[in-house]
Amino acid sequence: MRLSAWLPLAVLSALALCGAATRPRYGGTLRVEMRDAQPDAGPLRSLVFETLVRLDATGAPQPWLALSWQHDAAAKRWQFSLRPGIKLHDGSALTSAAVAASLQAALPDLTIAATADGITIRASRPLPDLPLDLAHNGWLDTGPFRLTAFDPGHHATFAANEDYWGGRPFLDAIDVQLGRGLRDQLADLELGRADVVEIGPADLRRAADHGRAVWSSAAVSLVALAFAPGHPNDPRLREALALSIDRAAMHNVLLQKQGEVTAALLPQWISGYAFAFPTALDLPRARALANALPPAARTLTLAYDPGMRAARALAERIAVNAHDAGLTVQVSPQNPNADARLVEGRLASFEPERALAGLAAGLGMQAPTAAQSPAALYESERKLLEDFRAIPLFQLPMLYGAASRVRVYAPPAVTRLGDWRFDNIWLPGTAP
Amino acid sequence: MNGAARDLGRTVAAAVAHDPVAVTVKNLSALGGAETAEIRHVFESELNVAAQPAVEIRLTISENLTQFLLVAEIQRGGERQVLLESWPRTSAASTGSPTDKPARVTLEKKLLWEQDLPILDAAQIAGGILVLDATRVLLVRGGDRQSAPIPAWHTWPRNLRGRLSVNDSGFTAYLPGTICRGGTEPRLSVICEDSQDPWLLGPGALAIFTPDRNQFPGHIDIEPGGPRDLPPFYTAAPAADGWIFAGADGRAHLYTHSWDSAGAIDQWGSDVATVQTPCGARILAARPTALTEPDAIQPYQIVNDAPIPAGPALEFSGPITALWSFGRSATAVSRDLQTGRYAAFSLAPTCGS
Amino acid sequence: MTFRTRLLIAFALTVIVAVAFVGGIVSTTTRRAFERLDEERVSALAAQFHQEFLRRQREIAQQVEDIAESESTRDMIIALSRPDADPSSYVDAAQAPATAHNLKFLELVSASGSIVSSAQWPARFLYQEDWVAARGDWNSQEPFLKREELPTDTALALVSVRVASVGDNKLYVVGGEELDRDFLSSFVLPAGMRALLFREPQSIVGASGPLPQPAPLAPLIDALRKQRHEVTQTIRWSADAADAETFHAIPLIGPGKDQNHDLMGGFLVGSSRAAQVRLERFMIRVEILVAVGGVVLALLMAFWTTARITRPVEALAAGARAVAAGDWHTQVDVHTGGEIGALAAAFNQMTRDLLEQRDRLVQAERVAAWRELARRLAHELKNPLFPLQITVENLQRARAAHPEEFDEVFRESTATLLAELGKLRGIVGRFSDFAKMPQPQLETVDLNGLVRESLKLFEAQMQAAGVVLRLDLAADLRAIQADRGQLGRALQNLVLNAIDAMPAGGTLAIRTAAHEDGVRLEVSDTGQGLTQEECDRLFTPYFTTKTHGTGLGLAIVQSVISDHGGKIGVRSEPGRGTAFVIDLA
Repeated sequence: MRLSAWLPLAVLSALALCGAATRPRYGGTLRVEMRDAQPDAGPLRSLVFETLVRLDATGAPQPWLALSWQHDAAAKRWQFSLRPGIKLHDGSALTSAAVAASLQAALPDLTIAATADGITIRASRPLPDLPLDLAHNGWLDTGPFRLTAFDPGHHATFAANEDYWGGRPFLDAIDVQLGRGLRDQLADLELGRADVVEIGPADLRRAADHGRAVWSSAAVSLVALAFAPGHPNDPRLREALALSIDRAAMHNVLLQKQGEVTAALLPQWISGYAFAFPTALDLPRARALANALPPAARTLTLAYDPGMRAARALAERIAVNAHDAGLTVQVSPQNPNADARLVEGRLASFEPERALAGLAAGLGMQAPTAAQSPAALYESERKLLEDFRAIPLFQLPMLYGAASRVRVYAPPAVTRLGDWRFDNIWLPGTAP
Repeated sequence: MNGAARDLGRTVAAAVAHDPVAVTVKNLSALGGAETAEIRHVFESELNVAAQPAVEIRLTISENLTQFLLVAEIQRGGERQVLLESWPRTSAASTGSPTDKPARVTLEKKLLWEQDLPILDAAQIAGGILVLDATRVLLVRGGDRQSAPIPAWHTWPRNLRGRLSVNDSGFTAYLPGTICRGGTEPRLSVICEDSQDPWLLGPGALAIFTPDRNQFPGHIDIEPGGPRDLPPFYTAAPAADGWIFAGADGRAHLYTHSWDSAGAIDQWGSDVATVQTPCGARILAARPTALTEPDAIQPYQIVNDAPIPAGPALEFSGPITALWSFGRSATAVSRDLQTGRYAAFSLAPTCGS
Repeated sequence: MTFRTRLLIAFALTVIVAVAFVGGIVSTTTRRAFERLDEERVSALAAQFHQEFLRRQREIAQQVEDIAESESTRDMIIALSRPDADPSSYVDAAQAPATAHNLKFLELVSASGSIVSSAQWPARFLYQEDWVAARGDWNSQEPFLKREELPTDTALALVSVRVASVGDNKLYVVGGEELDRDFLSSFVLPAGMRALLFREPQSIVGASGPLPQPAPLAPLIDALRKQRHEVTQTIRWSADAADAETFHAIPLIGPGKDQNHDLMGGFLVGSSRAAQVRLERFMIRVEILVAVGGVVLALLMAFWTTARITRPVEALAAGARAVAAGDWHTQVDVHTGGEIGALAAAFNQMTRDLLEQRDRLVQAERVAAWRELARRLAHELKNPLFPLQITVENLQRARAAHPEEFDEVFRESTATLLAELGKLRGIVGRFSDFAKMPQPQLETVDLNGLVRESLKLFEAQMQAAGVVLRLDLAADLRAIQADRGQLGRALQNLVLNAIDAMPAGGTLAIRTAAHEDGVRLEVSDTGQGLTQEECDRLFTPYFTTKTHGTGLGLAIVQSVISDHGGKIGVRSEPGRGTAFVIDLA
């Protein structure tokens, strides 16, 4: 046989080898680290709990624990049919009653009843976007992993749910270290001591340069300046500060263009009108407002949580911008009596009205007025922001760096809202 | 949609007391150029649009997960006012049923031709395959091969580019400084001329190609925007409400139909194409890999000026050296890193997860 | 002021002036010597400063050049020159070279003037430093002074700028060090001197840190700002002059806008004046000591000198006073020679001569007084004697010529004889009274009360004469020792004279007041007054201006007053009245 005849075989073999190397393998423990020491919600929850509905990459609700749904013409009465054969972690079957109870606790303003094969939901007002709400409410412990050990503030261990209705996950276990700083997480990733870590926007390039995969959610984390309640700061001072901040420079340099610049509380993909809140700085007007203040009133203190991503660099840059407007901002981390704080708040819902209420509560603002339409929601959000008690700056994604050994069978590993889909992750070979 | 545009137009007209206005429109949604134009028309019909306006209005078509939004920003001197209207998107949330048309598109590749010499383009025709390389046009029908030489009036530039455009009456082969027209019936016939006529990028899309380079210098004429001078680019593909140009600067630039810049994408290579699928048009883009690495082509959707993967990547055993689209399919040429041979593939998209 | 005192003052002044003069010369010479020494030390330190400054300039220029020429800078220029360049990836690029080259300040500035990376203020990325890009000849420029803004303050920096180029692409490297206390601690300072660094706008630091109380240096700083060349001033840190320091300020000038040189700060060399002040104080103490010693010596000299001169003079003066007091037997006991001795002998001779003359004068006056008395007696007696003679002659004629009328004539004539004999007795009686005026019997007398008692006797008479009485008696007049009777009669005599002087009415004023160590009694009228000649003779016995009276009244008053140890005076003006003033102890 001529050499050239072997060639296709060689190619095929190579392909076969490649094919074997790329077929997912069962087993292994994924080592994950995160900043939050008290994660009572968010990504950890998504390992263990599930909802009736999931959103796909474009934001359209997909059946999950619910197989299908329908509603009446007024969208006040909904019926959801449940997927059969799902077991809870304790081994018992998932029942309509359990689903109804879980949902009722999460959505007390609705009337939820179990039916033979599902649930009905009744509301006093139309709920055309109810599935969006159900994508993030009514969590049931049917998820692909079970919590097997929990040391609050330090450690959580999850084991694969052998009876998971969507198929046993590839991983045997997930080991999560809590309360670990971003620098330490990145070092652990680089040293091979962690498989998945949170990364800050400033470390994105470094992670990518080292060949790490980067997983990103949508822009779900609002970075904002929040003024402490009761601080008798002149509103002109707050407005001058707001107008002096050069968001674009910070976004380009400190955040490596991750996420988006914003002056709105809700991200664009949730509200659809975030761009209508102007983000451009207006230094002449900022200076005019500052000059109208007595000299002693042009100073304020700014605190930040050192564990927050890029917090120090952002705070110092805000101080530099404020200086251009004639204001003095003294940056002092963890100052409990500071006039303002640089804070980060996570989006808790896809549903705009609920998301806005959650963000307002997190920033210490009054509850927004109820809004049934985007126009009304815009007006509600505008009223929350008009006195500059909160100054939104950026909408950032949750960023995760993954070691090269981490393979994703069916992306994404991290959803739009930052939930983890680690049931599709597998690890080749034995653990290092 | 029209109702929202009309309602907003009336609200804005009342807010500006019917003063003369100028309207600029920006589309941040997944709505296409046609819908954008219609919204603009309906909106402006309620207003007193004038050449010397007293009020500037910026109309933005936006969307969230469940609604399309029309946002009118009224700027009169130093005063600004924002008005909104919305209408629901056709989605599962409002219709009450889960989506039955998944957005994911899977590409299937089919080998068309393989040879040692670099393939510039290949196209399926009735009963055969046309292959273009630096020296000839090749017609393969079954076991029959016919070739017609391409005269070398010039020294070909490095990284030679070429494109085949097939229509009912024959085909046109575009090379730098050379255009060959021909037919395949009854036999292959080709007439080439030394020409710097623009290349056909797609229906109603022409672009001049630099005869001694591997790129388009940027002079284009694309409907409805019309003639324009853009920065140099390698490939171009129509998007939902504009065009995408894989620039010579290594970034893919998005433009609206009115040639407003809509951003840039960094994670694509120098080859982009658009295929029409039953579930909508999808942009095909190669990765920005080196020519010594395997490449992949992935389908994308552009949402809010950002590319969203719309399906799994299709891997190749080497770099992609050419990517052209033909409406419902595309042709990709790749060089096998191990054998060094060039292979032309037809890429056919299918909708589904 | 006594001669001794004058002499003492003269000697003391001489010593003090001499000491002050010498002391002044010594102080001035010493001060000049200190100032020369100070100037030399300051010059040496200023030279040291200039050398150190130059050394730092060279060092900084070299460090910045090294950074500009490094491979990493070159790579950065190439990366930033690409069309798709992302400056944000170099936002921390200045930190490592700044640390490696020991530069506190390092900024990498793009060709357009925007900061790519700042080691000293990382948050200032993308800010424009137009001054960097405005100049193209940085590579030939020496390092210069510049105010560098930091997040919390402003520093004075010595900065160098170099342009790193790759092809047409360039990057500005701006690096430098701060002029701070570390810079000062590199200087070697002699004892008593220190170096400070003044940095605009208001910072003053020394080698150990910020100056705790820089306020006293404000005038020096102001002078430095105004004049912009070297300035010297003495600064007092406290009320104690030994705490003063002389500062020599060298301005630190930077390249300002449009080449107007900005004052960035100053290098202050302080030289303590403590040693000089202590020496001056020591000299002053010595001068004072010498002066005091001199004064004491002067005192002794004065005492010794005046003992030989002033004592005899004082003895002479005492003798003269004794003579003036009436002791004409005074002789001065002075045995010195010379002029003083001759003066004393002449004085003694004078007093002897005065005694002889007084005796002769007293005799002469006695003779004159007897003659006057005889004259007055003859005059007084003659008046009543003449009528006596006539009457007797009438009797003789009547007996001879008209014996029938002799009884009647005898009765008339005897009446006349008896009357004239009465007058003669009165005259003799008054003489007798005047001759044998008794010594006053002193007792405690309230003068105001005596005045009121005496005036009661004249109330009717004053009313009849139309005389208004005005009393001005001091309320707290002290009692005197006097003979109530004599004094009362004297007062009555004066009151009577006053009433007689106002035949057409008038005002009689009597005033008592405390006077010196005694009392004063004043009796005045608004009568016709007296001439000066009359006033001079008023108290002479038998002088009178009245048509009646013996003329002894005022002489008796004077005698009474004199016997009481007092004195009486008169002042009068014709037509305006007369006032008698009596002073009693």
